[in-house]
Amino acid sequence: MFTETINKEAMYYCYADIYGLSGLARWIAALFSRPAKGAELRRGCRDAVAEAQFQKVVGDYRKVINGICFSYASDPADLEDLRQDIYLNIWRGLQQFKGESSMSTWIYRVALNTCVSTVRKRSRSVDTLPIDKCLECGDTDDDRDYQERVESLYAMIACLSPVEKAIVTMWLDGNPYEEIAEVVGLSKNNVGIRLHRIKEKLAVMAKKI
Amino acid sequence: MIFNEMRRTWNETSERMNRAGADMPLDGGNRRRHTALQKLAERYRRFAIFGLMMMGTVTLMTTGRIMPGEHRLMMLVAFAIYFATASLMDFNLYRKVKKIDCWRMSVREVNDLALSCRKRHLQYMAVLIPMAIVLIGLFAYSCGADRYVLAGLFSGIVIGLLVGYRYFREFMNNYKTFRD
Repeated sequence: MFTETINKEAMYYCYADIYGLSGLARWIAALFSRPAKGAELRRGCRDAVAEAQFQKVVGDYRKVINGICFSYASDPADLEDLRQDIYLNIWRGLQQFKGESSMSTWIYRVALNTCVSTVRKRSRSVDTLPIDKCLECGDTDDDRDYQERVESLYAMIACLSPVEKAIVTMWLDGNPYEEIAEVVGLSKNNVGIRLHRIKEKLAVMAKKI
Repeated sequence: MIFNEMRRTWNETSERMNRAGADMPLDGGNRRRHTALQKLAERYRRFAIFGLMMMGTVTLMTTGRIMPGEHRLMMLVAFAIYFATASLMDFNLYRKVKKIDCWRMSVREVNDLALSCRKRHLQYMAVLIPMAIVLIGLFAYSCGADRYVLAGLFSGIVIGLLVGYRYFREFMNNYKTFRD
């Protein structure tokens, strides 16, 4: 079989790569490791493929995930927890992803569902996320202007219900109505109507702020 | 106009967050930990098992003479009913939380389920807290407690109810915000 023909040293290096070892550690691993069996090697290779796939997905959709976390988090610690939970759910679900929907739709679904299902009680007094702790905000005029804009944006989004947040987040990312409808579980027309109402709500809030 | 501005701010924020958190998000150790939802389900499961164990213990106590007083049997039955109810409720909540499937369900379905879990949790508390108060009262009565013990129990109940009411109000405020 294919796996049996791979020489012993190559298998050690394969393990060393999978477990992130390098240099001297690789050499020591090669000295003390036992030879890999076919099944182990197959499992190791499968893990390595899954790892590579996960890294690629996270790299491609990091911006989307960050945006979603920003909409649902109530403080920087909450933001980090949400982000970790989303990555964890993506890592665990990626093996089961069969391609019934596009990868983008699936990522939105996992990320939004993670946030919606774990959304914490929000204290009424905290309606703005301390942006300077999450983002790179300097002390220039541009940064101050940006900080004001982002705080009012966050305050407006924070007033929406979880489903409304999901719709508005996907709309802000420039997704088509079909994709929003698929992720949220509404018809395309319903998404249009809801988005119209949300925009009205946001316009009223923007005037107040 | 306002929406163009929103989009611009949104894109800028995503870019900045991308730059701020560009490191690899999940290392090997973190992959074995539980998500918030799993922790919640685990907590309900533990409480359900604890309730069952307590019910078993109380039922076993009917055979001995551990609990004092002449209303011993009545008290033990009351305790067993209380723990069985609590266990059933926690098990039901556990089942509901486990139903949430972040990979396949739509956002609306997950939101409805999460909301229903929160609502049910509160309803169960509304049943269990008065039951616990009655149980404590019965226990004090069967032990023939003196007036100082009764006064202590009464003040504890009042404080407990006030704290419970505060959380109830807070939950209802949040519930209105979450409801779609």
